[in-house]
Amino acid sequence: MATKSKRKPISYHLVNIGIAILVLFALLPLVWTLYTSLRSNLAITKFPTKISFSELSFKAYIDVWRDTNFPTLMKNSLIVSSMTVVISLALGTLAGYALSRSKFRGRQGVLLTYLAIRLVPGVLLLVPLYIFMSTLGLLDSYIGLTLAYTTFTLPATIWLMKGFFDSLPPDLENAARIDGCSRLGAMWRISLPLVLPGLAATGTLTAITAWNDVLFAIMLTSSERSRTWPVGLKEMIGEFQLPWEALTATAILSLLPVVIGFALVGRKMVAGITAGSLKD
Amino acid sequence: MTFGTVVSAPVRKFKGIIEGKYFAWVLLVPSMVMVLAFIFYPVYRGIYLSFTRTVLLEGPGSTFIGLENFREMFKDPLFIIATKNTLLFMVVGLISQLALGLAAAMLLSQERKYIGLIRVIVVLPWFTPPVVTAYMWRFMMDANSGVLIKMLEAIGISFGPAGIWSNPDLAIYGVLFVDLWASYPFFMLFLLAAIQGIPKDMRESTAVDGASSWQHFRFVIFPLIGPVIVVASILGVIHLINSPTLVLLMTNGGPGDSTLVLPLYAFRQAFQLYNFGYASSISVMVLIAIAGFAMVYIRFARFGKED
Repeated sequence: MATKSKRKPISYHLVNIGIAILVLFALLPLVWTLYTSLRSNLAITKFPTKISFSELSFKAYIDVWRDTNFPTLMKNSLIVSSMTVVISLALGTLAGYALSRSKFRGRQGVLLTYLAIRLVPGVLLLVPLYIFMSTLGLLDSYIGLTLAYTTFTLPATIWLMKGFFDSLPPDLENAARIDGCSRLGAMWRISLPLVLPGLAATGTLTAITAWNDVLFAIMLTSSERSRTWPVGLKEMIGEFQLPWEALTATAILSLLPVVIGFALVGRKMVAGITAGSLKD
Repeated sequence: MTFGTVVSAPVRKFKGIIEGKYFAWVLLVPSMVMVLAFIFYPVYRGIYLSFTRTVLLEGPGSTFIGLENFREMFKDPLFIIATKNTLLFMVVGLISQLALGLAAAMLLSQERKYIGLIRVIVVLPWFTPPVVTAYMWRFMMDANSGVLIKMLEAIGISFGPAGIWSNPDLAIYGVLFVDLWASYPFFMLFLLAAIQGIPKDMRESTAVDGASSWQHFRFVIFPLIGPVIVVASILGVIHLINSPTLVLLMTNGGPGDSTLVLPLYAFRQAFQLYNFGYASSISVMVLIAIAGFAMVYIRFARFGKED
């Protein structure tokens, strides 16, 4: 017990079992959802459940894609998410760079303010934003929803990008500046290419945040013009008592982009989130 | 960091502003404009609205009524219920997510084959769209056809014919369980990062001194990751209180008012009754509660040190 042996002790295997349980806990619900989406409604509601792979089909997916407005809603989500990413990254990279590279007066205050914004409840923002957007005529529009999402993605982007710039040595920029590069030029040509993986991770995180949101979308959209898929799914369930296989098929369809993005840059994303919030 | 002042060639005035001592501010202005317009202004308006009577169905105007909304709030039985539910949600949610997050972080800090991939898989629930999380678990915990319910029944645990979602005593724990699945990875991430920051040979030194694994955890790891637990708890509580999404989707406050939490109540006041003033007052109370919790918690944990 007291000494560390070279052979694998019982605790080694206990840890393995623990890790296996965590993986199953995370994946089984998703796997079951995927499995359900490929079955027929009859089989889903029959008990005891028999697991068989011979009756699986993509029928539910084809039905959802052809007979509902889900493709339109996914397109809306995609557009709004992309616009949110572009705005958040453009503004957040500039601000993150400034906060990382310049030690100006008020820097700490700006950083703290962007952190404190997390305290603000979404519902407190929602009512005034709703009024604001309706005054500007931006209700039920891509740009209105995008601006609303930027309220919570931009502060996060700034913190993340600051963290990624912090991890770059400033020497390279200094060298470029000595060679006659302007400060903006040094940032654009030297730092930005180096921070590209971080930029991709931040962008993906922003996209997922916008893609996943329900609360703001319920409020700020009212028609197919800008309604996003989570609202659509919520309403389909409320109105038509969606059959389980259709419900799960839509769930898997909408989860797909998240999983792909996550598979590509998940590790960097995870590293950025923790690093950004633990420092300072 | 002062190379900006070293290279001060006589450039044009405009370029001078960008490149000179206002460089940082020039880069900050675009995001600040956004934040001012879409966060600070709405928050200011929200706080103002909380002192007014603004009911959209009665017309567009709003009347300043001072603290009337807040006075009404403490007489409102639904507000009292929502406050109780929110507290329960916060306490049980925080404890369960922190405990599982810590256990998972300890497990995943071990070196294993594919551990990098495993860590990413375990975090996936946190990024799963809440709509998917909500309906997926509702389906699996459905009283008639839920696979989880059937499995539990098979080993002798029954939730009765009402199941979980129609039982006012169980529904909130149902949502809390789903929230545990979705949100504990957040705690795990923070604690894992903190544990990985502890030098590996520390365990060898304590082992030489005869410390058991538990003692090593209790007296070495725990104090070292303490500050991170505080930070993660505050962010976790903010998340627990501020995002009524799962409750909205899974139970919408029901059955009865058994899962009605404050932000959901505010949401309902705003967008079902169009009572914008009262909804804002509830939101302001939530903001005060969160800020208060954060301050007390930080002080309690003695984390108010500089840097």
